[in-house]
Amino acid sequence: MRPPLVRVLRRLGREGLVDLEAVSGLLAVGDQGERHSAPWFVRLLVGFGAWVASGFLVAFLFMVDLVPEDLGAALFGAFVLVGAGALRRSPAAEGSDFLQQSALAGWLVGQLMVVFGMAEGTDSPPVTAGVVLLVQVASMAFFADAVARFLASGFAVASVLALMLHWKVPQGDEVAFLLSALGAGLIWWHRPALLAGRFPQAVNPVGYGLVFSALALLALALADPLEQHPSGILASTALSAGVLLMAWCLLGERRRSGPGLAVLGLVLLLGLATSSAPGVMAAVGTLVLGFRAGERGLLALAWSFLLFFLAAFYYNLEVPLLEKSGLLLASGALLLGLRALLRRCG
Amino acid sequence: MMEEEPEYDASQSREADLVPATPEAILALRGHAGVSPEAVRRALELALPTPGPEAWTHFLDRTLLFLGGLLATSGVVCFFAFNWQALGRLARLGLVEAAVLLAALGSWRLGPERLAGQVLLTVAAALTGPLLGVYGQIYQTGADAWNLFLAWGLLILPWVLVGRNPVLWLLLLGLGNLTAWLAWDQLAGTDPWDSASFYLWMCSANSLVWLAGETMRRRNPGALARSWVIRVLAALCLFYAAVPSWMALLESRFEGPWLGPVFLAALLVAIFRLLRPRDPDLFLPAAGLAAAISVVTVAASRILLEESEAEEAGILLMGVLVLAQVAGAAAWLRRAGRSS
Repeated sequence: MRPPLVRVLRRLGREGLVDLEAVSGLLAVGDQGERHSAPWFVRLLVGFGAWVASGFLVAFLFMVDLVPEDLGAALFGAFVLVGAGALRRSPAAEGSDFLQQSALAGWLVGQLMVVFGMAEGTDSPPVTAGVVLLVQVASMAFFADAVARFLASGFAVASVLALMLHWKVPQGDEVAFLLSALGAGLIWWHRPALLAGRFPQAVNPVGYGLVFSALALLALALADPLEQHPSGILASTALSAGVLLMAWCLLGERRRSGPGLAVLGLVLLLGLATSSAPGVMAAVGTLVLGFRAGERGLLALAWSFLLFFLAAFYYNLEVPLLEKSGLLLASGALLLGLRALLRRCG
Repeated sequence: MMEEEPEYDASQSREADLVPATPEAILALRGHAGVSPEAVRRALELALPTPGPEAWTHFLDRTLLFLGGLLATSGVVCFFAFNWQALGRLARLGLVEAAVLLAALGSWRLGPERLAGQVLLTVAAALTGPLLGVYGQIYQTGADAWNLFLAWGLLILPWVLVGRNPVLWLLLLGLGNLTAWLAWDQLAGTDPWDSASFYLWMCSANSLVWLAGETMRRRNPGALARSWVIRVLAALCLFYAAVPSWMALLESRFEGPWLGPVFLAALLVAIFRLLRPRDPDLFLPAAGLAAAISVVTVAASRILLEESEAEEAGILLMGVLVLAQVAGAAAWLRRAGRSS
């Protein structure tokens, strides 16, 4: 639950950071800013519309032979990207939803052209993935659109995964997952500082994009379409360490108390028990980050993913049913037992 | 303090206490006269505080209960799946029956007003289906699958009414739709996905439930307080009305059943004329607009891509049309959100 803006502004006034006489005017400005933020289902509608529109536009460009071949297509795509970025930042787009959607569709068209052109022109997967990664980083920073930033973070994770697989990095898919999870963790943990930084509007969309990509990679690893046969041990160990570190920081001076030690012990034991099911610790980590940041979206994402992961885990043939049963029962009993213990301790 | 400060009197704005200190609201102050970067940083610190020890304790308590219950139940399911073939008839039936009974009794002891009671009631309702499945497997009742889902829904109905739990309502809704789908498939002998009549019947039935839900919500907000159950119902109705509309448009010579667009139009009128003036929630209008956009796009694709000979121009026009529709919808939703 967020505090009222008026209370925050009055506090700033008492601390001498704003003029108390100006609170009324600032409240009106903040009110308008808050109302301009669209709910998630409107953003979903906009994003989906942009995908469909850009599909038609790309098909048109190819049908009329407007797209140059090879690296020319990448250059063409880069121009489209820059043009879309300029359109999105133009004062005219601020008040026009049509121009905003056009810029988003143009951004997607440019992305597709760059990928197509680089892949055709260089015939080198690492160069293509590297260029795509750079384009995503630039998009996250400078393309002033929440949907584009969310998608760009997903494309960036996909580029990293492509690089890992091309270079045959051991456990490459788990490394890509961990990089995504680490990025998400750092963004949500340091959100207040980042929001006060240079790219405040990028923080939430990129944070959500990285969490979503990390969870999607874990879900994909269960299906193992790339036949990497991930053990999940690396991801589990790193996730357990991450959640343990978060618990350590959150407990502060209470970490040496009985309940504090119980919480730390629980994280360790849960990490051990679910070492072949990293989705459990990923969901726990997302829950902690979501609660700390007061983001209901992250909490909903964590619970939805956990349900999906458990269903997928049930059908995963890599782990025998008896082993799955044992580790799930042990983890469940551990959590319920700790709840009873903490309640008894008050 | 209030007397020292000017009152918040912007005529177009909400009551001062209703404006939450979201990051968006605070970031809107950046660059405003008299607001330094330091003030913004401090405002973000104040608006996004780390939860206190009490909040963390409450969160930990709930998470441990939900997560522990979920993992333990999943573990039990895996254990039965592993040993299923080795278990005797009585053991299979007895185990699932005992689990249902224990969960129901636990819920009764704790009471449906407590969170643990709600969780146990949901577990009991969810396990009723597997119990019926095991019964059918052991005694070879020969019943069709839709009988099982119908019986499951009917058996848990009293719990759903007593429990006042949105998850139980959603389970019942899913069971009802699944029963109808399977019954249509097995009794009518036609694939429901290809039958416009199926969608129209389902739209009618779900609309009646939606109407009942809206009435309940208005009379007694506690009965179905979570509006997301209503949201799911409305989205289902719109889906069932949109699909036969696409079918009608894609039929050769536009000879498909035209009741689909009529149903969709009726739902849109209900959402925009009856519900919207009384309900500030934008989900229903957004879902209605998405359904309308899908139907207009399918109609345009038929005219521009199939009936016309200028295919390239048609493709370009389709892209522009989708953009214009989504932009219009987003603009309307933003305006509606600001005026709510």
